[in-house]
Amino acid sequence: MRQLKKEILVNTLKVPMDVCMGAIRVTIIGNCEARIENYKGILAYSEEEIKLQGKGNILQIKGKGLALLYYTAIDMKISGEILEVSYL
Amino acid sequence: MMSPKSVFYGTVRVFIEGRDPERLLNLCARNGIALRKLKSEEKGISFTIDLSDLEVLKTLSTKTDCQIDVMERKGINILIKRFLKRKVFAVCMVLAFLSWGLSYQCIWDIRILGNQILTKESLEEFLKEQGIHRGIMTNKVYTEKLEKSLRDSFENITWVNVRQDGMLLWINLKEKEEDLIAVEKKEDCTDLISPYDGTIVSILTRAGIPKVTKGQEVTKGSVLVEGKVPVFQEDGQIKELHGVRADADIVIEHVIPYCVVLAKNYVTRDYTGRENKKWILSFGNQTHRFLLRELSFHKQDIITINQNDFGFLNWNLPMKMETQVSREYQETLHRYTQDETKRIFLEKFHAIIRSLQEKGVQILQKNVKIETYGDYWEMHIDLTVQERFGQEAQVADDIWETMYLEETE
Repeated sequence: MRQLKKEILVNTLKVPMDVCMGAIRVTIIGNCEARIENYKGILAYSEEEIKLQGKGNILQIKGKGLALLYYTAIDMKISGEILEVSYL
Repeated sequence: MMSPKSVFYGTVRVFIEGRDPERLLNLCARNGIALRKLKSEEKGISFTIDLSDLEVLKTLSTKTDCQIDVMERKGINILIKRFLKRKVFAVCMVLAFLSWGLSYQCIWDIRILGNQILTKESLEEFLKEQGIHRGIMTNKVYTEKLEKSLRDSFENITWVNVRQDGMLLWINLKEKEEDLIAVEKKEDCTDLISPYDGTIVSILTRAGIPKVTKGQEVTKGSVLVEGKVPVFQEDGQIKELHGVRADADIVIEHVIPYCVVLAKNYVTRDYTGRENKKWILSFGNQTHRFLLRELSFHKQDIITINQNDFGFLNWNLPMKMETQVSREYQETLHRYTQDETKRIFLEKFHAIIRSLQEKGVQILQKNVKIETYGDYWEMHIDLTVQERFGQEAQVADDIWETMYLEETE
């Protein structure tokens, strides 16, 4: 209920959701590159699957030959063939 | 992308394995360690970090119970450290830098531009007298003083600029324009003389007193038009002689003899394909030759190719590299056939006729005779021509033109 209220407030004020709610921001270019911000950490990392902990949810990226070009506390870049992006 | 700091101080590629390598990655990110080129492998994860972060990573790995394996170290700093371990290499590097630095303190080449009358040799001789030579220290070259001495010593230098450019000393100069154009000194009184033995076909005098008439036979050197014009008094006596530059249009009919000589035998070179290659390295006055194998040839052509000066970023050392290729050949003696001789003579004859026609000479008669003398063929050509000349009283020296066509044909 509290989450819903916060969403309504953010939508009303027209403030970016990733800034106010700490939502994961995913920028995907084609199916070969993705830039991800606002995550808390990596839960799992393999060539087929990357799981990232967000604020309240988990982002799962599935693909083939996935590799992290860089990984910092702020953002990360994934390369490889991205097949699926889902929230768990 | 790697920062210049990372490139210099070095990066390290590590492999981590353990129960929870992802936790170590998160800890690294929290501690401000930038992880690059992460790759999931069978037993763990490999990634690249800055060398300075390795200690922090080791500390974090103990917390997460992960094992770290350093796979590779890269970077200029590491490279230098590695090379410094090899003492000979380090000494050579230091010596190379020292010699590079020291060589920059000297003038290794002097280049002179803009000289047309003054020869390079004379200028270099003068510079030598002034103490400027190849190998002189740059701080001993006073450009302004040298400019002044050049201007003072050579009167025809109107402008000179001396400048140092790296290891080069450039001397740009300009010479007086009057000196460049040879001014022909004209005499006030000149005669027109006959350059040939022949017959006067026509004469039209513009200045001076004509001494010959139409149809008169003249010999080489005889005066055709005199430049001394008499000024008469009222009583008919010569008051004075007024000198003029004799000028007339005169057509002389005369015979031009030519003689073309052609050797009956000629030599051709057949290259065997065997070559000898030499590399010649010159440093100042010293020359060193390097060759792979010495082959002795009875007869050979030598081609020398000047590779280049060792010039790089104004670093011009007096070094020169030359490649000398010797090609073996065998000489074969051939004999011109009668047809070939006839063809060569005909070509030469047409060339003579063409050159005369281009000069505006009218050819009246052609007498050609080919004779053989021992090992030579001779073609005698007597051309009766009408030639116009005037103004310049010059005697043509090339009445007899003899051309030798030997093996170069």
